[in-house]
Amino acid sequence: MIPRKFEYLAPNTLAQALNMLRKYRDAKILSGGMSLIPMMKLRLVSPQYVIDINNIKGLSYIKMVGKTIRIGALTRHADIEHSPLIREKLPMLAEAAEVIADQQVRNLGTFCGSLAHADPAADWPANVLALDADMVIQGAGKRVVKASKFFKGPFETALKPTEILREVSIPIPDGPKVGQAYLKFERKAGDFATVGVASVLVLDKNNKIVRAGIGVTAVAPAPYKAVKAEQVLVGNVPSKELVEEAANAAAEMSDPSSDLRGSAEYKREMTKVFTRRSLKKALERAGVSI
Amino acid sequence: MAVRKRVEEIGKKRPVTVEINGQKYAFEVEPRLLLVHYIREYAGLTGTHIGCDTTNCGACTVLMDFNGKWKAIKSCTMFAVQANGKRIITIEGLAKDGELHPLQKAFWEHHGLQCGYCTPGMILAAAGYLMINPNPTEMEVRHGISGNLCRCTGYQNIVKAILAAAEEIRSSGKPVIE
Amino acid sequence: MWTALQVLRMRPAYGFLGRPLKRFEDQHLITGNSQFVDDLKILNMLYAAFLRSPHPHARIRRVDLSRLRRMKSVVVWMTGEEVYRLSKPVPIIWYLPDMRIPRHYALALDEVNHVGEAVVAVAAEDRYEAEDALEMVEVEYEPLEAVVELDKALSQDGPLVHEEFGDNICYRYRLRAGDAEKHLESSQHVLEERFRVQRLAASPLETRGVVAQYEKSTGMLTVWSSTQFPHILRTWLADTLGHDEARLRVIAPDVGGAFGVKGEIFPEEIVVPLLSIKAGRPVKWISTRREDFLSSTHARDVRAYVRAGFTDDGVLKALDVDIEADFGAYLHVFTAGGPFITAHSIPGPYKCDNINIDVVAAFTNKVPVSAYRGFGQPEAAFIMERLMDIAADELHLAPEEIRLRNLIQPSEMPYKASTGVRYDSGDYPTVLKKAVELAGHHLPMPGKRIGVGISFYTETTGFAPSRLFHEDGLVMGGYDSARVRMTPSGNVEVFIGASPHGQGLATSIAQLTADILGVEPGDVKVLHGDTFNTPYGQGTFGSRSLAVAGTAAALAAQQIREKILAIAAHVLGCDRTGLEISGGEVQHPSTSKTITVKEVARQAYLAYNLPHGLFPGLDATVYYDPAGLPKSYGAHVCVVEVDTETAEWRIVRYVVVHDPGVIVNPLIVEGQLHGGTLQGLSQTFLEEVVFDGDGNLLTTSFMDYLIPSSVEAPNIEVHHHETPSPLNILGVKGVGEAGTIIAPPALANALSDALGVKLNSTPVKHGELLRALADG
Repeated sequence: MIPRKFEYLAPNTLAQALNMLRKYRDAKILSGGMSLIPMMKLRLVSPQYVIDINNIKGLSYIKMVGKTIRIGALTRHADIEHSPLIREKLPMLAEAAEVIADQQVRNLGTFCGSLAHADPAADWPANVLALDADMVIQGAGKRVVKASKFFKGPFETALKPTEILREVSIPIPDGPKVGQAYLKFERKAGDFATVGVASVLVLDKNNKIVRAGIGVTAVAPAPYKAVKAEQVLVGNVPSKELVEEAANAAAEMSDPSSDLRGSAEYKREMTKVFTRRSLKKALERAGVSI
Repeated sequence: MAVRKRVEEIGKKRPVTVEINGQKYAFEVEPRLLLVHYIREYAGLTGTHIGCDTTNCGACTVLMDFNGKWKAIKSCTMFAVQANGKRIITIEGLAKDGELHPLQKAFWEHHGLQCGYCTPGMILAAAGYLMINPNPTEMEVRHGISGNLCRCTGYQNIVKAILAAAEEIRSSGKPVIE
Repeated sequence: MWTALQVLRMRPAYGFLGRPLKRFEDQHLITGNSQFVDDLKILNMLYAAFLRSPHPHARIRRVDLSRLRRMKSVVVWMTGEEVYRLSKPVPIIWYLPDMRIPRHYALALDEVNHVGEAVVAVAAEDRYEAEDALEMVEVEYEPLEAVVELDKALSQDGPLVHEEFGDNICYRYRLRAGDAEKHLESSQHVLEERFRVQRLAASPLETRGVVAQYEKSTGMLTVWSSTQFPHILRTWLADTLGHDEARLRVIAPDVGGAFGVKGEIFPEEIVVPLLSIKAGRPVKWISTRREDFLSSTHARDVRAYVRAGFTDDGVLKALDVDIEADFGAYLHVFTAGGPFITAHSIPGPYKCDNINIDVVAAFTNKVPVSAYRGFGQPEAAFIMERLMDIAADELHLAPEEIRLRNLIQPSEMPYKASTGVRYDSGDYPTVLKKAVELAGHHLPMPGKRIGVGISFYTETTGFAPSRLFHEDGLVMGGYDSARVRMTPSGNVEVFIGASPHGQGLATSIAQLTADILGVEPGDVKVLHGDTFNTPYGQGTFGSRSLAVAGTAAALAAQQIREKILAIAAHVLGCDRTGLEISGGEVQHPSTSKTITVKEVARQAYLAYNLPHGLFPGLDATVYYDPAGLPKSYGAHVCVVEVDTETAEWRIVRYVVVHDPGVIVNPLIVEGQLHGGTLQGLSQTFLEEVVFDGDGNLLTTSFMDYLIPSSVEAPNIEVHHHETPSPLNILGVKGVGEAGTIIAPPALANALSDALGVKLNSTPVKHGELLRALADG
């Protein structure tokens, strides 16, 4: 379990890192390394060049800019887990951080690295989809891609080989009543999700849902935004029946494969169960009972 | 099996200096050298173990200094070159002046180990966790060490030991790692 | 002469037996000063790596090693052809009648029979280069049809694993007692059930590893191996390699868990010494976790079809059991024994006079199976304990009631079962009742259901004696040994033939030796693992070490004690009777004369003033072969709470009441139960080795083969009940495998109870629970 030989590059600026990406075709960005290094050890990937971006200053931050929270490329899962700002504005992310792998992995693994790696069973994609985040991509120039356009397939994103995900900008859900929840079903602590559902609900004073965001992971080739379920919810006052309808809609959009985590049929069923529970929890946190 | 064509010069050795348990080590190593092998085979500190290939078992856990804060990491999932200039604490550096660390004492006292293979990683993961949460509940301890597998103890006495050590550390008023 | 137990019992106030002493093993382990195989570093050492088959079944057409020659750092390599010339086949120790034995060399010769079978070995200057070298070897395979499913293996016209046998049967075995057919016909209730216990991987945290060092000038070969039985390994390596056994030293250093899987002789333990001999340099091989799944033996993988006849009152009259076992591709040291033990572990703690058991064991193109904690017994316990619950349900009896009606009664002890199996001592009904009472009653919270699972077991411990081993087909002794030596300065060394690897045996033996010799346990150093300084022993497995090696140590210590008393009486000039040892002193109660044990030891070695006829020194070796196998037993009660929406569940209470005979160190006993029980529970809900339909292993890491973390582990309440075994002077039984044997049905029974279903197959998948919930 030893990686093949590679050349190690440690740029001090983002510009240098991007130059290296352009210069060396067979290169991989190393941020937290929690997915890359195990894959290199198993020789599933063997880049000739590893570009370690950990020495670049100014990429690790969680800050509020206007009505958004900005998270930098080198922000670790643990930073999010323990951030008072996140706990206040985007508690769902703190909740998700807690269930990613384990303490040690969270100390090194990065938020943006996980998103760029795009494991179809990872936790963060469901969250950024539900929150309608902007993915800030740096290449020769800067471009912004909506989370819903970012995930293309298993381990496939809108990132080009010469680009880096430098920041994620997340609009803070705002309204009279706001509820967020990330629920993950896992076989054991620290496992990748069998299914994970992130829900964000904003309701007006009359309990009408004005905004709904639902992100689902692990039950399709790529994480998806359960748009049909969101449509079911928006404009309506929540009820048990409405939640059930939304859960069914989210499950209908799933496209799971049968594997060690269970059959496709079972995973579809679990998508329904966990969408239901995730929505119920979000409503509960918004102070709305059904 | 497919064979990759390789440029001969690729991955040349480079100097890597790491301070482990207060002592500086400097070796020329390949970029692909894993930190755990640097610690075990170059620095000769074999108390840090290897139990899996995939960052699941935690046997290789050490503490690393990040801007003045000690954090638990898995040393099998970092290249030694990444640790250049960093400070590390391994199990060998936990006892001070012949006095066992409260976690070491508690593991012994409460029979928190059987074969002892996972123990160094387990103790350092516990130390890392107690620095995040000095006064944990039983369930919090269980989540805190969920990245460390033990096949012998059923974890019951490990959890007991960590709770006891946390108590002792709190009442001593000292930090988890001095 | 007193028995050691009497000696130990005489001073309960001062004695160390029964006390929860901290372990002497721990200090080096908690400070990072341990010495596991991978911690060993020898000058000029090479690192070995193995190229393994990616095919479940294929002919090897060609092996091209030419590119290895161009690699500077690669020193030696080896193929199956060379291994064939230099060694005998991989050893087997357990033989059953008419068993077929496939050809199995340490490296594949011309055919591979499972994914992961070793084909080529290389040794290079470091482990990084060794792994690189594997990519330079080209092997041309001609894939053959693989036998993956057991059904396919047992079918008449399917493909063959080993063509020479004509079918895939390894052996058939029959066990008969009474007339099962007749009593099934006349039974008022006949249950028919199918059971399955999945394939498991022992997965000790330390993978296997070997270092071999051959010194040409002396012919000395030293092998360090992460093994449970250094002496057995030495004997068989000597035979396999054709090496003088006196010039072969095997050392088991610190061993990071084993659970049975390291009580084997693996191909790497043969090839690494061959590489060292070839290179003239030390060679190290450490298994990766992936390799461990591909090359260490798996376990269980058994199905059973059962017919059971009960009376209206719930009395078990007859059992007819068909057991089908999937052995994988080859036979290892203990492979054959698994289903044999299962057969003989039925009906366990229950009485049943009429029994038919038919075993068929078959070859498939999978990793071979062999011993793993509980070996054969968990399968039997799962069958019996699920059966009892199903029968209770059918007959409208409480689960504890039906068990009480069938358990062997204390008045019947010692009991001989219809199958010939013997039960030495104990009060089964009391222990069961106590467990049920302690578990109490539980009411469900809203949105939850409660399930209670009871299970009862007997555990065959103290794996011995030699005569029985011979009758059952084992080519090894059942005894074990200890040498007790008091040094001239009064310290004690105990060298044992057993080879513990986490059990705390050094502490337990120090405790009982200290009591016998009247010294502090801290004065007793217990040494094991090195064939050069320990007497011959079988090793540590089968919950045998305390009962067999511990008894040997007690007997040897007793001889030293007698000698100390004789010398003391001589020096003090008093009568020997009435002399007592405690606190490091020999006292004569009526004259108040005393002499320290230290002084006696000095006298023993100066030897100028010894009683007539007494040899100098204080040194005794005992080889002890027990009369029989003590049976530990106990009851587990598992209480689960199941969420009615998601079918997620958790264990809210787990009670163990057990009887392991005399307890030497309760901390250690409880630790064994905690760990064993969690391993057993995870059989029911988590672990499974999975092959795909083509014979590829899907579970090759801890991401896929899940072992529980601290989060999944429940707290286990352990209550002791002590009935001394009459089979050894200490009254001890074993405790190592109890949890793994009986926890699986406790949880399966609890979940079945909560959901009103029959969960007869492990692992119980969450999807199955969800369906049960949907079905009401």
